[in-house]
Amino acid sequence: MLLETRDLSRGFGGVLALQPFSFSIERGITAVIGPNGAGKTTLFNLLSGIYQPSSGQVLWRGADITELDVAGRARLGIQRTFQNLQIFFGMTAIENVMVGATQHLHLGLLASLLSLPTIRRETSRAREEAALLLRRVGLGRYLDARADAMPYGALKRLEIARSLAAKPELLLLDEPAAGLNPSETEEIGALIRAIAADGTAALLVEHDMRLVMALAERIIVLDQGREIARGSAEEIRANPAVIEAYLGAEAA
Amino acid sequence: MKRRLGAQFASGNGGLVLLIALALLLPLVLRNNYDYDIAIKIALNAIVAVGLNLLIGYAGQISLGHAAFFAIGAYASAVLPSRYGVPGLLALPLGALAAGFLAWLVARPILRLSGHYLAMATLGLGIIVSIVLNREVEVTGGPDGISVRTIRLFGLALRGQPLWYGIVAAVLILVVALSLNLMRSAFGRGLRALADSEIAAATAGLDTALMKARIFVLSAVIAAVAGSLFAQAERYVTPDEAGFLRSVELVTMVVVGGMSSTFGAVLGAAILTLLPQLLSGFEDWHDLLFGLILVGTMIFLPRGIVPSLAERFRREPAPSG
Repeated sequence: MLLETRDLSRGFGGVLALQPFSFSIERGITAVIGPNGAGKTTLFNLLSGIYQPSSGQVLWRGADITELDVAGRARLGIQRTFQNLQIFFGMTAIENVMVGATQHLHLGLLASLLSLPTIRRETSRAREEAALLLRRVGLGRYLDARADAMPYGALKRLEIARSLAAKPELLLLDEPAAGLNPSETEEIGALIRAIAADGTAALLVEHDMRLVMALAERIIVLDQGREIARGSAEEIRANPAVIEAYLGAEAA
Repeated sequence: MKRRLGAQFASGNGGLVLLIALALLLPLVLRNNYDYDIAIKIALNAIVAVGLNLLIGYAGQISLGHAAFFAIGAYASAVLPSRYGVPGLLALPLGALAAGFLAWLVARPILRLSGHYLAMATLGLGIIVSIVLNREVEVTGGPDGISVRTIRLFGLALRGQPLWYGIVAAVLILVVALSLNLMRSAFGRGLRALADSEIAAATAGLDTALMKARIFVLSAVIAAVAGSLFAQAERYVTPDEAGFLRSVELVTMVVVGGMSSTFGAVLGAAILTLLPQLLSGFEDWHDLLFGLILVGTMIFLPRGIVPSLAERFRREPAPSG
């Protein structure tokens, strides 16, 4: 198994935002859905290392990484995007993506100060690779645009390009289609499918049910911190507990 | 053409050539030792400001105690040779080492926390160093200060303001070149990234606490080197060099010239070193003036002089340099 959780839970002052939750990811696209407050973002923060769990374990290729911090998990190959974008707004698009590749580059302070040939070669190679990635996510015309001058939809892709620059084995996508119009959503869907086809496992939190049903091979449904269903798109669509959770939430 | 020129300068190489030309041509207008002295002070402040800009402008951390590192370098060059017989040339690296070690001790635990704890810690550090320099009279000479022995190299005494101007200007050019190099590297991009979004930088796999600590140590070492050169050039050191207001002055230089601009730091140092000289009748108003300049910059040119000008020259603001 690539990623696995064992009875992972997290409480905030007595409220269990995520009740003991076990699952595993090997490859392909998995989606986590559920109404607001279901514990999806909590799960993401536990998997990426931003939160420490109240109980349970996170395993990466069978090894316990529960104690590992965000950067440590990133270096293992876990990347994520953020629901409320975390972009380096003072930098250009291509620089944003180059930062994503930093863990594969030389970070020696002395070599950097002296601008040794290895540093210069790496920087120009990182720039070329970043340009390729930006073209791949459809941002070819934004290479040298400053991030704070880019439209919202482009920034969503920029975050994906930056996480791909780290060459992840697992990509956690926190609401990649939030705030996008239908055609942008369709393009993001195609991009995610292409990423998964290239061998990067993807875990997706998303409210857009059409996108989820179209993309995900496995769907996990959370409600109020608790798993209420797990299965293929067809199984989830027909599951009475899921219908109850969503209709109940909408009726309220 | 205008825009390309602006871009060239923003990328750093044009600016470096200009700085070298300025440093070479400046002696043509320096009439006496007093003029040379001011030029030396500008260059020394610029060295510290370029180092401090790496911390404040790029890594987004504030130090309110950089005068302490400058003073450690200065006192190393003053005290070690006269009291302990250490060769003057060796005092400079020893002072830099001491400042770097102290900075590391302070930074490593502090910078694991996010927020502006470094500002508080360095404020305290500056005050402690200041007290030690004032109280340890037998070693430091106390409030009266201490004179500095002239370095002898192959029987030649390294003295005279023109000579020290040359040395200090060369070190400034070197430090500027190193700073430009750093900001073109993955390390430099990582610094700018963590100042923008620490969580996203960590998600890219960067050990942000370690990077901040290393850049803080580097800026402290640069300040200490400037301090050592100051001691040699001025041949006298007092505890005033470690004072809190001196630290604030250094921060002001970075802010006025332009945060996250290497040449902005140089320009800020030049302006804020020259201004008090031009207004020498108003010495009592010196601190007030600095305060006004700092506040005025924050209101009218929040990004500082050089980045604001660079933006006018080209649509895309200077990414670095």
